[in-house]
Amino acid sequence: MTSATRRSGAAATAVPVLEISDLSVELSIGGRWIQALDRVGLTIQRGEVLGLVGESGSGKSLTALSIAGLLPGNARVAGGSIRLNGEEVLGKSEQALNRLRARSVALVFQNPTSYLNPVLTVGAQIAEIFELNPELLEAAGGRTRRREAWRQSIEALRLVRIPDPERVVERYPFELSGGMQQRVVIAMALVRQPDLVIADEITTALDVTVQAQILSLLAELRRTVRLTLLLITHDMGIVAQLADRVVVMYSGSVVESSDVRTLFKSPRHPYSKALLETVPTIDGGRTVFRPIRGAMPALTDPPAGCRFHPRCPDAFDQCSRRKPERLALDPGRVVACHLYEGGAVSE
Amino acid sequence: MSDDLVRLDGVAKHFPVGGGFFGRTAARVKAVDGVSFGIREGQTFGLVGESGCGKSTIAMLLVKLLEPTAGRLTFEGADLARLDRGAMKDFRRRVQIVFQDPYGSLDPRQTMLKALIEPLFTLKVVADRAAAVARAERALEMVGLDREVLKRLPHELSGGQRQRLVVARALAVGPRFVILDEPTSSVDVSLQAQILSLLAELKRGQGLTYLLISHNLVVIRYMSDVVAVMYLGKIVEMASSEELFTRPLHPYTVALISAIPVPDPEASTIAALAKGDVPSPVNLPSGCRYHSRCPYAQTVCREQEPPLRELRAGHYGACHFPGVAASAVPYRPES
Amino acid sequence: MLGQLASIRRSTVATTGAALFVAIFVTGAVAPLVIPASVVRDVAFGARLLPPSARHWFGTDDFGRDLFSLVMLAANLDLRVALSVVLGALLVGTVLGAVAGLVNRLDEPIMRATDVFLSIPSLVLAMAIASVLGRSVQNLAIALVFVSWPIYCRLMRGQVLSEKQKPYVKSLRTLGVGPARMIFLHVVPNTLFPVIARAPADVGLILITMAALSYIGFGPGPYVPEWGSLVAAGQTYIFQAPWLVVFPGVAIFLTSLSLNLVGDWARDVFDPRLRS
Repeated sequence: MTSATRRSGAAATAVPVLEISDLSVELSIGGRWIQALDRVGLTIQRGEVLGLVGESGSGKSLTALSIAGLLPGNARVAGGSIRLNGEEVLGKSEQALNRLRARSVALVFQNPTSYLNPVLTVGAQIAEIFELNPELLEAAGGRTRRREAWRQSIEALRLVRIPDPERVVERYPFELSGGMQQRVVIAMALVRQPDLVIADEITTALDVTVQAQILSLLAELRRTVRLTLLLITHDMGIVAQLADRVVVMYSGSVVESSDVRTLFKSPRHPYSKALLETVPTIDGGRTVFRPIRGAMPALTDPPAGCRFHPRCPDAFDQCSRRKPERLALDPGRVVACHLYEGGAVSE
Repeated sequence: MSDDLVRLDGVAKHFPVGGGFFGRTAARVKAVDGVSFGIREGQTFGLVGESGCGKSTIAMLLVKLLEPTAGRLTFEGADLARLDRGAMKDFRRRVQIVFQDPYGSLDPRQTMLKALIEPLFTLKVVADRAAAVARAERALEMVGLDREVLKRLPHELSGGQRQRLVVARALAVGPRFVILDEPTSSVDVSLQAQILSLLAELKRGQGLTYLLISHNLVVIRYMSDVVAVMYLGKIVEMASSEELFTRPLHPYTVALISAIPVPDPEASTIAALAKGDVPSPVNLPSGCRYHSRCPYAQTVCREQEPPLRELRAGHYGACHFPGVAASAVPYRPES
Repeated sequence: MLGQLASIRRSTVATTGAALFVAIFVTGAVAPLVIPASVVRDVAFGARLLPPSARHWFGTDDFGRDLFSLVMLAANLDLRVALSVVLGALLVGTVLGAVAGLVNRLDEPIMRATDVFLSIPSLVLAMAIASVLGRSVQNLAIALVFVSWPIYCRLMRGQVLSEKQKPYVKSLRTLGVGPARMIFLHVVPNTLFPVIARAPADVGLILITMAALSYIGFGPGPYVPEWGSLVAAGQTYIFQAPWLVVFPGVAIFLTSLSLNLVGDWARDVFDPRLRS
């Protein structure tokens, strides 16, 4: 991969690859506009893996779709900004957005089968990307170009550790297992040399041993191609193993964001704490689960004040009255919780 | 052992695979291929494995939704193949199953009240409606659901509520043995903990015996007394939960355990110890079924199928080189 | 807001459809009571092919009969036939379809029978049957039942087969629900409604097929007021007296339209997931 040229320039100026601030998104449900994302903010630096965790309904996938400009028809952005390499994405024309997306963002989803064309071989699908983005190839001229695209497709498969790539490149998606398909989708994401890869629950549908293979592949790519990754998952284990920083979402807002080690060592937001306690390890005798009481509120009927307060063991009168401000507790750590309002500085 | 509540002896279930014209059978899938184990009263027996290992087929055999191709299943000493009509009702009352998809497990047109009381009549648990409603309400209380859900339809409940409801429905008939097929695979992590502690509590309160089927080792570890690991229709390792998780002997078990991402950034290991994907059960590998994915496989593994034998006291394994992968168990933080 | 608009629009459309159909139905029911039978019988050659006027709203036909009265009277016959054809086809089709889906042994024979019926163009088949049975309204209806049951049969069978595979069926078996109870209380109610929901739109379709059959001469004949026959009879005078074709044609169109609108609404209503 010769992405060094494009990357080196930006790295010096340290413009974040992705900077989302105060992003609010509304969904139309049963004729009403419901706030689905509430002033979400996150930043990813080049070469960084950001884990975005939350349960279903937390808004993590909606955040990803907003970045890619792929919001569903019943959604609208109500405010905020999304900057890719310093360039504002929101409000761009569909065409400009398409160009920007094609150049800088690649998405990988949970179900690889639906993102591969069943009637084209794996090689044809990867080669097509080169055809659409001629600048990715250095060779000139029709015939050599095509041969070069094919060669690069095989290289891409090799990069994602597909055994025997010369044979696999000739295969159709249905001839490959789920794990192999997911690798192909990752390879297709990587050949475009995107600035940012968004991976949305990409191992959820896979068996555990295959999940381990994909996760170690991601860990490897992170070193070899300095992958900048927005890793969306509900699994705290995956975050712990792969992410540099973590953003925890609950019911449409960011409740805590922090460096991964700090978060796992000393989570501050009661929801982060609870989430970590519900994840048992299989080590050291009997595991202890500490269930969180209640369930995530419906978007259509959110509680007043802090959305976590009905389930929070530490809730006090303030929590049901107003939404907590985001507080910068330590360097690099932001928490939205009333518990810390006394001592900390508001962001 | 005679004190087993449930026993499987050499149980096999083969499915014909279509594809042949005129109903000719092209091949057979050996979904379960010679499985034996016993579950003692009061135990939670964990059955773990990846997709296609046959764990759910065992559940279906145990509730007689499928009949075995070979072997014998017994409950309370009685052969399941020889239950007459009366004994069958009795069996259905005593053995219940909670399927993995609670939404799909409910008739979409039935209110929760009807869903709860119908089995009480079909299984002749109660004689009249008042008794049925009382029993349904008691079951709801056991699983921590409000009476208010009784008039709702399945799609009007949340995922967690539906899961509790199907548990309530199974428990309302008063079973002795409950099969839990992936009981938390359709709920979020915070609910998973709720459901599991509820199940553990119900087991204590009602004196139940569980067969817990899951692909999630963490869930198995949390709930089970004894664990069997299945791979492509066979048990490859079986031991007490403590023993199996601290001293796994089969390379597959080691691969499964080390595949779990540890929720601790300091313990940085993601070990992918199993190569490739699970092979198709139509075309089983020769010899040891795991050899195609095993990093330690030798010639003998390709040629001979290792039998399940007692490797340590109460610890069974089917491997030519048991313990070969033991050193590969990843670093574990102090507890 | 958009959603609200959509749902209002949806319900307005459904209400309009339903209102239109009720109006046509009432007209059909009342017409024979208020319009004297002599209107059909009495021929007045002096009043042939009069254009629409205050006296004859839809004009008169080539026998000098009042077209408005004829079109209204025809609503009675057309709706009666179309409704009973659909009911008959629904009954035959769903019963056979359910049997095919539930009884393995009968699945093949029933399905091959539907293949035979579906492989012959329905108009041709209806014509063949009608010509064997002889020219009458009843025979036309029977012919139409013959051509329309296989659709319901296949639909019902497919529904039953997929419903049988649903997890709740397995789950209820382990809860002691026996085969009869399973079929009549769980499987059939869950499969029947999507099939029934199709019916209103099919009434419209049958109406059109019936009109087409009458038009090509398999109807009850020119002296019986029927929309298709009226169009057929008016065809000769299409340039002199276009109203002879227009008014019965519009009647067919409006009835079929109203039934289609009601059909859309019926599909939504029968799905418990869409009810709140």
